[in-house]
Amino acid sequence: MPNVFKYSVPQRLLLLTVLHVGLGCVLWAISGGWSELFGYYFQYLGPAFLVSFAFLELAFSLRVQRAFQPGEELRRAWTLMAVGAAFRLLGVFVAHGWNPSNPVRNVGLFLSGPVQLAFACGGLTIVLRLYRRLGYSVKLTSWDWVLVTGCALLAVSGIVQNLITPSSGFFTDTLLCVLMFQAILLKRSVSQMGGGLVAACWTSYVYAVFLTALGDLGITFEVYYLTPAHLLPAGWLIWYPAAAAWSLGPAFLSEAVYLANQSAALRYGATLRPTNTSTASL
Amino acid sequence: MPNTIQLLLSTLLQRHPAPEVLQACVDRELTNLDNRIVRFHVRGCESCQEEMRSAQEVLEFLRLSDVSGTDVLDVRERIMLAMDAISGKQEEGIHEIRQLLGARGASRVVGGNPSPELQDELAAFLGCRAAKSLLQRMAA
Repeated sequence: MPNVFKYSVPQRLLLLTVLHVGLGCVLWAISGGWSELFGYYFQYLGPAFLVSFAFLELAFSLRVQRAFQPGEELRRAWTLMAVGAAFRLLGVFVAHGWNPSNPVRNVGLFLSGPVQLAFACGGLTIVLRLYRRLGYSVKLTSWDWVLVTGCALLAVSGIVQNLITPSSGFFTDTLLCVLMFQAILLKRSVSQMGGGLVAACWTSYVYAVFLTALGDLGITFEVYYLTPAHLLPAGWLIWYPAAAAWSLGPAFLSEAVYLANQSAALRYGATLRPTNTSTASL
Repeated sequence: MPNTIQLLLSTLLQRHPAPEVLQACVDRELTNLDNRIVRFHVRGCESCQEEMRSAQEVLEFLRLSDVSGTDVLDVRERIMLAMDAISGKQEEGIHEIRQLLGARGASRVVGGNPSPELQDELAAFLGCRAAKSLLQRMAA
């Protein structure tokens, strides 16, 4: 299976993520839960990371979207992904870019949350349809059905909870449940490709959805005081690999389109050299 | 001095897993200087197809590469190199497809030619422009 992280752009994104999360883990370990330095990490470095990666996600999504011509199946999918990425960038900037008031922060979180997820949902729907058309049949395992049932139950509980106590978190939870279902189907379709940059692209989105769902679960646990205080940073750190995964998807496909488009001279021309003898009729 | 088709046949004969199959064609070729039989064989023979598309394409490749020489061994060596290059080019094409679409896509490259399903998949996942550019390079 080809190593998709040998390509420079995804490699650098992954390296930056590992360094950033690694730094967070080190600060967490040496601070024993919380410290001023750890606070600066989340106050300054964290937002910078989130905004930068949201920007990269948008940039790569637009680049990939331009690679498709009007009328092509995935152009619409990538347009939706790019619009979602734009809302994510705006939302992350508004919520984390400076010290906003709570109402402003909530607007930012709404844009980078449910709004972006809704567009991602639309994009992944088109991708799943494409995989089915190309003959990538999906066979869910028993474990997949357990996850799907879990997602459905979470969605129903979210609806019931929202009837009791209306909140915007309901949109995120419901969309995440739908996205998790799509991610499971996508994972099964992609696994049949046997590697490659296209598979890496859609696998990144699968991880992005899973990590975002984990982050959302962390918030829920935090709100209901289910997480011990010394473990709270784990729920915050998860958002950085999630942000990286959202940007790696379009980065991989951008690399694939570039590879396919680059012109190359006849690679084998140099193996033959003309002789100086007179020409024989061939 | 045998012509290039004859040299090509004798080279194929050396590399063919069942040389007796080709022998009759080679004998006929050397006697009657008839190219049609060998071309017919090469097109239909899976083993020969694995190494090159047709004797005519190898000749075309040699002409484009400005191969010249009166020495039989020299031309024979060049045919071997051409066949290796085409085989290598096919391998490179398969490698490129594997990088993009994975093992399943690579398995759809047959004799250096991408199947219609693979072409459809390339166009669907990468866009028609990128797919066309890649397929043109593979066909070159």
